[in-house]
Amino acid sequence: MAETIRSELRESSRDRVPAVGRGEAIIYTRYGKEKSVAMHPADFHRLVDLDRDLAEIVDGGVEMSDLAAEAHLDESTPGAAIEDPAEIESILGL
Amino acid sequence: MPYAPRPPFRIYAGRDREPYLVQDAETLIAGIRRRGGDAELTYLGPAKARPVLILNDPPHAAVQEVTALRLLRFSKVPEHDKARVRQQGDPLLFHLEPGRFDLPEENAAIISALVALHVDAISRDAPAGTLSPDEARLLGERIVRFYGFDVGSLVEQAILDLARRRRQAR
Repeated sequence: MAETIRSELRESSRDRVPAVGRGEAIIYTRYGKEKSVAMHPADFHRLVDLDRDLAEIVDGGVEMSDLAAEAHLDESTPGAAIEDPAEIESILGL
Repeated sequence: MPYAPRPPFRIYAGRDREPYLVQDAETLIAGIRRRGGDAELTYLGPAKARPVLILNDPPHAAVQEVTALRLLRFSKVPEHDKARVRQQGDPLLFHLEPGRFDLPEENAAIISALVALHVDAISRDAPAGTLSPDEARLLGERIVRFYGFDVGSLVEQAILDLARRRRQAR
């Protein structure tokens, strides 16, 4: 399963977060780098739903058929190698 | 980890005999064509035991092969490039956080060095570490970009599926 947004519930009194209007976001920075984002719950849940839907769509793996597995094995498994010098020399034109 | 075979090919010639040296692929192909059918020879090539970044589980109960990326040890990275690689600034060198991988030194996976391995050739010890989902996603993006896989129709289909789901959710 692809990565989806994990969330954790906290009382707003603990971290003293601001109220944010729908369609808006406040981006907090530290030393010029984005650190966290506060947004309206409806927007957040819309993004979570989108993220989950996208993850479900892109996670469709391909199951290997027995035929494909057999083909893979046939071409990937060593058989009996020629080790007779005369035969090798014949192949190499020596 | 075997290196990619390349000429001159050294071919096992049996006990107590020097290997045959073949300077080019054409000589081999011509000989095998003359003989008809498949001719399996034992090619001698250098290999070394190294950690790798494994990309997938075996795809089928009968197919116990996985794909992996070779690793670049940081002791081989020039000092002036280390910071850039650590910040994932080189798209073809995927930095592995040293604190999360139990390896003798810091490493980066080489996107261009994709190899196939049989699971029996991999240590049965616990993995030295695992990628986070975020890292796996970034790694996948880099692999797709580097190898030039055309995922246009997949993206298009995903967008259409997503749009359909969104419409149904309303």
